[in-house]
Amino acid sequence: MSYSTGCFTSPRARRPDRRWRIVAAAFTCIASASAEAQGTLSGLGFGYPVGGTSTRAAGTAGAFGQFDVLSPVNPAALGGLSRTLITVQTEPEFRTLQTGGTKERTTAERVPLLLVAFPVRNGFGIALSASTFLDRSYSTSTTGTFVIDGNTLSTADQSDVRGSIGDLRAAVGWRMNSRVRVGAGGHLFTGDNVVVRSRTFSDTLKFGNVLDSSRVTYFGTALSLGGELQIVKGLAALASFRSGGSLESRIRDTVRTRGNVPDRLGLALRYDGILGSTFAVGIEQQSWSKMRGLGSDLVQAHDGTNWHAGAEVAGPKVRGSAMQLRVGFAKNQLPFGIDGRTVSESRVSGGLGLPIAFERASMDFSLQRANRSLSGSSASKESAWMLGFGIQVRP
Amino acid sequence: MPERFSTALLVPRLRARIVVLALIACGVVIAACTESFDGGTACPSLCPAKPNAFRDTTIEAVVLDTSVSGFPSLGLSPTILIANRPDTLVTRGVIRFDVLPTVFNANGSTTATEITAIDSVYLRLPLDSTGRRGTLPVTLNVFDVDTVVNDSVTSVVRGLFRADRRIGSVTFVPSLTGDSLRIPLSASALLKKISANSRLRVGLQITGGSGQLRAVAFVAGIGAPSLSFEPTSDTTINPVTVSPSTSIAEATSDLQLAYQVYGIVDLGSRPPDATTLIVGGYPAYRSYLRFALPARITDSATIVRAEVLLTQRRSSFGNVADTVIIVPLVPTSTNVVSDLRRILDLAADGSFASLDSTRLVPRDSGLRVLNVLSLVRSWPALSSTVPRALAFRINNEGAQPAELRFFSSEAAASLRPRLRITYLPRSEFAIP
Repeated sequence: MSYSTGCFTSPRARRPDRRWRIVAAAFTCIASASAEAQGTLSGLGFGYPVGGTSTRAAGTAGAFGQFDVLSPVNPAALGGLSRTLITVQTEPEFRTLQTGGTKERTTAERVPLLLVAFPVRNGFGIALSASTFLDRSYSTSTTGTFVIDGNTLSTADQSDVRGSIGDLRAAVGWRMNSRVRVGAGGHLFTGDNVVVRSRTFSDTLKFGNVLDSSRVTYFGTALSLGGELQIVKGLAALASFRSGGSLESRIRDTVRTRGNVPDRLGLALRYDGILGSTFAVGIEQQSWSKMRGLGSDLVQAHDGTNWHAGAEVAGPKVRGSAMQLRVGFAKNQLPFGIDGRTVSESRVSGGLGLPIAFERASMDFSLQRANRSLSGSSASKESAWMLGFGIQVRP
Repeated sequence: MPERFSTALLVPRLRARIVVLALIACGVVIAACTESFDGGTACPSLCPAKPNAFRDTTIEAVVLDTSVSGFPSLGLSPTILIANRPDTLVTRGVIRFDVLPTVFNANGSTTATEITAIDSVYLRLPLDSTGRRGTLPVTLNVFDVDTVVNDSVTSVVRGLFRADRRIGSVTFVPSLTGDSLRIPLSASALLKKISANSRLRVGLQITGGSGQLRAVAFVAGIGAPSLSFEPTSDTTINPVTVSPSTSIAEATSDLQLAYQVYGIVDLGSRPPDATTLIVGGYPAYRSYLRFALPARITDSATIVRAEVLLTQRRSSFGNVADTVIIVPLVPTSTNVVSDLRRILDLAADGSFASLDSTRLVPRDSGLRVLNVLSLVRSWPALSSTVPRALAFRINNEGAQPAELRFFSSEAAASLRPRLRITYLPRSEFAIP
């Protein structure tokens, strides 16, 4: 496999350019393993909105997304960046779907974010990032029947869906002064879904299996703006807005459906008046209904409002540096429902930040517990443990 | 000095840690890649899907169908039938011994001795006991059918089966025969041939009752019947054995082989009319069907079932109550080959396309369903120059007096061959 060599590059790197090679190798590894997953409640429609926040922000249930420089949410967070940052993270999810009296467990691996940010002169910062926007990967095995010539045949059906829509962002932030930061970003939304469908008949002598596949690619654009205002010492207000452009689905270079990238408005308050601690609350509104034209009539997209609250405090010192402890809570509305009903999600999170190698790198861990339910129905519930591991390198 | 010392140590350690971190990241990502997406218990309530119905259609897709007789080619049938069943099948056999020895080597000695007197002349006929028929005694007569006239003409040969040319016979009960039959021949007749440096061509015919033998004609490409005689009155000398052979001037080896051991049909299968397809019979027929499927099925669908529907007609020929195995053939030649006989000669056995044979009984009638799924599914991948076709033969072709009759595409609409296809139209289902 192509990434093997890269993954196991000798750790005895000596020259500065070797470091970049190692980092690139890490990126290669992650990119090659970017199959992502979603469940059946969270995976309706075009999939699960991963969010694309950093592990640090995930530890606060997304509440730090508006000002976290590692999260490609608010470009204003790049203003005043002092050091180059490279971050990569992984986020496996262990999901349990409970429907009726049965439970079904699935495991998914996500690499929701890759980001490189570096400072420019005069308080400007630039970042390039790739994050997962909507993750649609799942498999279903079901049994069915097929009536022919008056006889009922049983069938075994398998459907494998793999793919996602990603958000590639190039953004710039500027620290105008000690109180104001602003930023802007351009987004490309690309990705694909490959669906492989098979059906096996119980009578294999007369009937042949069906194995068919279909691939759709997506392409869309958006612009984002953001700002941060220091209201008083220790208290800041943050806002960001993404204006969605067109989003198209293509099959073999032919545009099949058209919709729009959903607009997103996010507002947050941050308080860091206590030394070593940060508190934040936020609200986010996403107009998912703009995606309706992109799918079939079966896709029911609903606008969603998400609430976040989170905190980070300095914890015990490890080898002279303070460990960061994080908690958070979020209440989210997922974009896609079924039969006129919506899926809501609540998340409780915790996290840990460990500075390592002095200021050269740090590691973040997060653990989120998500509970998802379908409005007006208690028959189907989904819960998930989402682990997060992120690493930031400041070369 | 201490400061310089610590800096020198610190930088490599930092680098090493960064490398270690990168490797850890790789390891975690790779380890976490063990994904398990399998689900489906919540379906169909949480698995909205577009309608995805199979379609079933029965179409008259046959654009050409016909029966071709004369199988297998002379010399290619491992067995021949010698039958006297006046109500259905009458056949004769001919065996040629065109090269007769004029000298012999007594018990392997190197000295060649001229044959001047012979004794104990036998024609040994290996039998396939599964083809014998008849429980009453019959007589197998052996005639000298050699002539200077063109004996590739059947009527000429048929006229040589006369009493004045009979050179041997044996009476037996067919059902009681073993794996071979020894027929005593006239020693004087053979000696005369040897002395004249001539050839022996014998004709075999069953008379005196209803009976049938299936004789082994060739084994490994060599004529299986044999002629043996004692080349001297000295009984301690081993008999001489002669294998079938023929010599036709300027003939190909195929033709030479064809006329070593062959059969003549006096009464056989009734030729089919325009509304009939025959598979098997004597002489044996093969049936060929060429199809044209609609593009909506071949190009834009997944075929899950394909069956040829044939309406069988009752047959009165031969072994009407025997079970007959109908074997599919897959014509593989391109449209450059237009001779149907040639197409059928070149056709591959159906097993190469995973087509199974089917057992049918000639006296039965009604709709027969033959599974051709694997063949039809292979058609889209074929070159457009290869006609989409199917052919049939019977097992023991040319050695089994049984035929299967079906209605052809010129019969009444409800009786014609048809193709039943169940398919799933392709759709771009990746868009949710």
